[in-house]
Amino acid sequence: MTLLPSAWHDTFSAYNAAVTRRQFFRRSGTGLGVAALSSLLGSRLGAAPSLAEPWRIAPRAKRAIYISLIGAPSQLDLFDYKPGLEARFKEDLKDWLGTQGERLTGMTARQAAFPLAPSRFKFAQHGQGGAWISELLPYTARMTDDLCIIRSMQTDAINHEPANQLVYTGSMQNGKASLGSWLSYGLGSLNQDLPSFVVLHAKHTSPFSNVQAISARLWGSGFLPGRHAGVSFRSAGDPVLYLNDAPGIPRELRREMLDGLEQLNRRSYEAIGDPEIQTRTQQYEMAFRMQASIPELADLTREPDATYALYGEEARVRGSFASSALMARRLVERGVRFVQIFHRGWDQHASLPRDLAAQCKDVDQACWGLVQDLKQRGMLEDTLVIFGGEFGRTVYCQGTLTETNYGRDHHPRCFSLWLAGGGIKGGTVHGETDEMSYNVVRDPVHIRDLHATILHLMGIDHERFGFRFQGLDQRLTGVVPAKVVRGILA
Amino acid sequence: MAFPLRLLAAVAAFVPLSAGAASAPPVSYNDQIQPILAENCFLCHGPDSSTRKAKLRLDRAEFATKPRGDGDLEPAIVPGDPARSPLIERLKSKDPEEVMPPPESHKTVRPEEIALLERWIAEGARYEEHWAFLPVRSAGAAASANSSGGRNPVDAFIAQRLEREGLRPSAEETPARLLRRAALDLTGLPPTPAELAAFLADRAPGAYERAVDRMLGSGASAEHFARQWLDAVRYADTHGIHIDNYRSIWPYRDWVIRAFRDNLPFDRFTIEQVAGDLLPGATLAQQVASGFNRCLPTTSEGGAIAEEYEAIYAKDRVETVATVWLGLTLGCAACHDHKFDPVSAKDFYAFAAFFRNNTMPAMDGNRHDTPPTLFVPAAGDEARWSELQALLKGMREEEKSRATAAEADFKAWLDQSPRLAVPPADHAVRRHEPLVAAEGTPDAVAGPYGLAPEIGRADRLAGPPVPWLRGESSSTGAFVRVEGKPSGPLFSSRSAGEKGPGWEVFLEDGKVGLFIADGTGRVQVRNVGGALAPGAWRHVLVSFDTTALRSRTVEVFVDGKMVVNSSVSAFLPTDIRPGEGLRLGARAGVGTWEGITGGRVWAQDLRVSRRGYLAADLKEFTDELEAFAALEVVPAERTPAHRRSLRRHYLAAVDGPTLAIAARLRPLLAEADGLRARGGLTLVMEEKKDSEPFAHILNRGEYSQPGEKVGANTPAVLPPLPEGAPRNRLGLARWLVDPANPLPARVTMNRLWQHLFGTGLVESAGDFGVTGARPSHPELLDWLARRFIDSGWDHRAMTRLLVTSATYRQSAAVTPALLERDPGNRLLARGPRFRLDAEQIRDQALAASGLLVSRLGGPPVRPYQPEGIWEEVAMKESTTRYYQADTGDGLYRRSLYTLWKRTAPPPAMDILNAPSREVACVRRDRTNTPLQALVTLNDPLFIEASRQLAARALAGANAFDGRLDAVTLPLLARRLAPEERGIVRRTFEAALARYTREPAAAAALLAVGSSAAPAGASAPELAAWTLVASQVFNLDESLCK
Repeated sequence: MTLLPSAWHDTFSAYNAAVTRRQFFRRSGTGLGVAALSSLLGSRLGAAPSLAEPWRIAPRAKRAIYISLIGAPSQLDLFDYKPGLEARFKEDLKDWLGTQGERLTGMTARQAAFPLAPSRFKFAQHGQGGAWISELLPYTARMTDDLCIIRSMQTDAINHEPANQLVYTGSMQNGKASLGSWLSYGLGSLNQDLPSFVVLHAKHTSPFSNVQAISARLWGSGFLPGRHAGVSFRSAGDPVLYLNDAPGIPRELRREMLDGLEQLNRRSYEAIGDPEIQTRTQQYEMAFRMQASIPELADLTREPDATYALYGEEARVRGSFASSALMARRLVERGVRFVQIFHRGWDQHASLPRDLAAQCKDVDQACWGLVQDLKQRGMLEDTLVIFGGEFGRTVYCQGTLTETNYGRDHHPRCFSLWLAGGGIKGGTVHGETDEMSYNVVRDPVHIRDLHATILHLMGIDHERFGFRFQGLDQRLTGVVPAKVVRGILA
Repeated sequence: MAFPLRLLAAVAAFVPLSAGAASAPPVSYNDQIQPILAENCFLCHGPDSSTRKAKLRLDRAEFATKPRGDGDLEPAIVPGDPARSPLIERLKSKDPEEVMPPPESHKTVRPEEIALLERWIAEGARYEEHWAFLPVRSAGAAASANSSGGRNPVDAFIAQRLEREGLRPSAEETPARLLRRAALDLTGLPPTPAELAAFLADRAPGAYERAVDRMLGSGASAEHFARQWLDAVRYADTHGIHIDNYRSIWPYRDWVIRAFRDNLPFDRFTIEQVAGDLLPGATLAQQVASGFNRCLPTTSEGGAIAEEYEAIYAKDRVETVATVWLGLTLGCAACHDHKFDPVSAKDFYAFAAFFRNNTMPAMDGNRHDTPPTLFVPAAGDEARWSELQALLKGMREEEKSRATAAEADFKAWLDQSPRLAVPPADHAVRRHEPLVAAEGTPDAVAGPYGLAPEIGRADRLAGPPVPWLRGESSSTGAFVRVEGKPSGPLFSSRSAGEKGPGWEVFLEDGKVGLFIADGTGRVQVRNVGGALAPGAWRHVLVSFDTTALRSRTVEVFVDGKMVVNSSVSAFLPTDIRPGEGLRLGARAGVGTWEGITGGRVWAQDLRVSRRGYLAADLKEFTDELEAFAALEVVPAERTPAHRRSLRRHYLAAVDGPTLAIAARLRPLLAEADGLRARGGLTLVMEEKKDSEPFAHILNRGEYSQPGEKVGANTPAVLPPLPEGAPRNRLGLARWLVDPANPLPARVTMNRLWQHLFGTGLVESAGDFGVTGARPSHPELLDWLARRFIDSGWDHRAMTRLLVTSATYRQSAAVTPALLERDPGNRLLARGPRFRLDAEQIRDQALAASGLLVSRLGGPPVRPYQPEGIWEEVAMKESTTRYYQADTGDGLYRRSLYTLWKRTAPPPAMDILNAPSREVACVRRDRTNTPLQALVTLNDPLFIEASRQLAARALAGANAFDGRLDAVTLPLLARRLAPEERGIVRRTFEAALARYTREPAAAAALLAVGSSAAPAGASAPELAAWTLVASQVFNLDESLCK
């Protein structure tokens, strides 16, 4: 595996490019060249771990795509089938909840009754492993043999903001580094011209969906060097901020202007000797190359019809989840290490049947299409795909329960997600919850265990992988012991 | 080693690990031993009692060299005898069961480090207190270094070290470059060509010092230093968590600017921010300063648990104060005793207690004005504001006494079987139509003030269009009575058709509805609320209010109760500018008007006001309805409540003396409204009066696991609070600037050094603890700290001292040899040179092009921003969901005034390494990336600035060279050399040829930005010069100081 530092932001790789492109060493005299290089190395060494770092282990996946369902989809209506509950429709759980010592959110804590709300969706067994999947996810059901469904996920947070921070940064506190930035920091990029960590914002289509906020802290670099932060590829305007030249600056003229800029900067460099000047010129050159390469990357119109048969026709709509999934494939294909797709609107406190169905429709086929597409390109074996939200939802109803309608509140004690691809044992179901999908009864998997497992699959020993900040060895998995979930590994 | 030693690497560069020779000076615990122990041992054998192994603590002599446990375990270190010290034995052991550090820690101590430890033990194992906790050495002791020349004592310290390293300082920078460097460092802006010329012409001694003084005294300088402080205190204009609504705290930001402008001594600067509200007789400004405590991110998420967030807020405040003033990572002790620094969890919670005794609610309510707040008049308005308050108070009293005195007149009035009178319009009413019909008017019915006309049967124009503009308020209301289930417009000001810009309150089968459309399709609201009960008079009012930036901009009230609102279009992204006038019972149709069907509607007393209403404010109208009802009751059967209603009405609408007072009040209230619009609300701090600060130690930092209760106190390792000092924030604030406290002066001077030289004397500006970096010039740091204290905490004098040093004035040019020797310029054998901060880069473009609108302070502004940045992350109900750029001045203010939304900071600033303002930031990242190149190449602001600069160049000179000078002087403070001119000329000629050939391209380029393009200039020429100016803006020389 070729390992390059994260080229997008990285001075060092730009510097390497400088060596070939501008014969910089020859022009500046050998002494300075070496000195300048070592100064860059010197300033980077602390931040960018070398290949021989002791935390490296054999990777099972080279890249990953994390499909983040913001708002927390209901495990009870998608993956965690509880056939006994229909008979207990409307049973008041108030007294039973009292025995659970559970924190309730401010939204339902004062409810007079907690009527049990069975899922009104049909479940069926699929694939050779016979996993139960809801009728809301017909395409997902078709690829059950590729998936490992974890039904025993657990988290510490009961509200969206802290829960999302925990899933995507390993901590409920501000200022931490995101999962993608850790991977960028640890593994670097596989590509010279693209960032190692790209964020996509997929639009949800239902106007009724209850939408939660997200923020740059979920893909920020925290205490890690800024170049490891996720770069948003946008679904409106320039695909990367400020990518397109201002109106009235034709490409040839831009080239002319940059050539002049390079010559002027070179003169500055010769007079002042600051190697950052050369680096800057290289960054302008890389920006110029990106102006060509990114529109090509973002242009989905040349994808054959077969692609749209896989992902669905919505993939033609810029910004849709399906087009984001397709874009994710194009990104990892070109060497992006980690792609995160945020899809909002999964917070079904009320009208769950209507809204969850709409949300599922947004993502179901495209997720299947993505996995099939990766498989047919021979990439699934070393690409990890993760699909999930930030916590689960309650078995009891929030608001009024009727035969056809219900809502569910936040539930941190259990939830479901799936993984597929590199290093994952397909066709498996891991963990089990009690008869009400309330508590995990077998093989609990905490968020930190999921992180440990993702790192493990990507070739990183989570216990040894850290960054010294504020005197502490900061780790994605934190201080509470985390374990790699061996049972789901191929 | 398992982890990269980012911070320690800097130390290693300066402190040889093994001295080798026998004649070497004694081993220093602080410089040589502590880093080894901290890296390898303290995790299990350090200050944290909960994870301590084998009851062994190695960070302090009293534990390491004495028997452990209950005295039954031998000491780890036997001073003078390394061979008998178990520490050495374990380090050298080959037995995996015995060796330290244990294999599973993945740490190894190198042989030369073990040798150093052995020597240190042989020399007596002398421990030292951590350097940063030692008292600041006195200036006298350090002044001995002040001998070897230079311009001031700073240079002596630098020269001493350079001499030791066998290096020599560089020559002085050229005057023009030096001025530019100083201007960017002191004001954040480049020197103007006029300032440059004046400086270069000033041949008298002290010219540079005079320029420095001028710049330090400028408003621009205050803005520049304030902006850096705002990073440290994590200032932002939104709450930060979840809905992330706007919050009004910019008067605090302005206080910081004024504090720097007035060079407020740093001790007062500290005390007023940390505890201004607690100062005896606190002034308005001091209370505003306490808003420092309110800059933290807060939440109001639906299910959030108050106790949890109270713990989070306290921790955030501890971390901020500790990082900014103490350079300590106290937050690490929230879950356990600090792993490296002698700070226990108890210390942390005792410190947190200072911040847990205030009246701020845990949930911010998604309000812009989460209490406690204060109103702050604009600069210059303060006196008149107080005067007005006094006047208004006096007149309210007059009103009250008249109300008492009016009892007899009221009775007399009541005895005449009166009718209600139309109350006079208040100061905010723009249009008032009483709608009292003449006797005999067909279809009229009795209304509160006499006969009321029927509406909806004819097109009734009630005035010019009523626009709803951002930053303003507007309301339209009237008494309404319906029969049946009418459908149709009630009040409307819109254009014909469903898309046309405008608004309307309508009826649909007797229900009240709201329609809003901005004409672009972005806002298209049609919501229907509750029914308007027929057969009785009601008051219907639509309130549009953006001044308060509440979650809902538009609400329709019936009898003071909200019935329908703007829902998802919480905060209108655009202005609503109706094409047609205000109509009553009618709307503009295509070629005709549309009226009411399905029922009948009457109206009376239409008022259009320039204020917004909350439900509580509507009593003035519901009172009138009560009075109307009371009047209908025969006098004998009237209850006391009826009488009260009628009395209220009598005073509001009938009583001559009261009306006279009201008439005098009106202009004053209008004036007060004007002042209020110019000033702003700000969040402040307020202590609970009835309790003492305390906190519970939270087990593992969990809010749900409270342990021992502790009172407010400072960390034990630092000097204690003085006897008798109050155990509250005021005591804490004074303690922070007590000269006995060894940290704040050092930490503050280190940040100033970092600002000017790029890296602090202590590289880890936010961590002066055991695992932080060691100072490169410890004596200099202490000398600066002492001098800072002795100067009366005069930040400006210290800034002046540093920028007038020979060290600062050196040329930044570097030779290959020096670069190899000192790549980070920590030894200062050359002058500082590094990329400007995000705000400086944008502000420089504004200043150099003449676009900059210089005005100190004011509400946040919204410059250009690519579409969708906010919408991508925001919730539907957020007041910061839609971003609409300002028009005019707001586009061209300095960057510190840009509205800072925490969950989506201004993107260009973000790309150029501005922090998110979510946690205290005392040191910015400084990367060099292609995304940054794209900002300065393509952000419309930079294109517009290039065009403006080009236009100035064209207007100012006729020849190429003169024009080029006009481009480079404001940016680079120099004229280009002949060879450089040749390079630019090639770009220019290529551009000119292209734009001459393609006038459309020239027009497109010149159309970027909202400022006017100059008339008369040749478009191809102006476009070509725009490209040249953009080229110069993008030079490394422009982007660096």
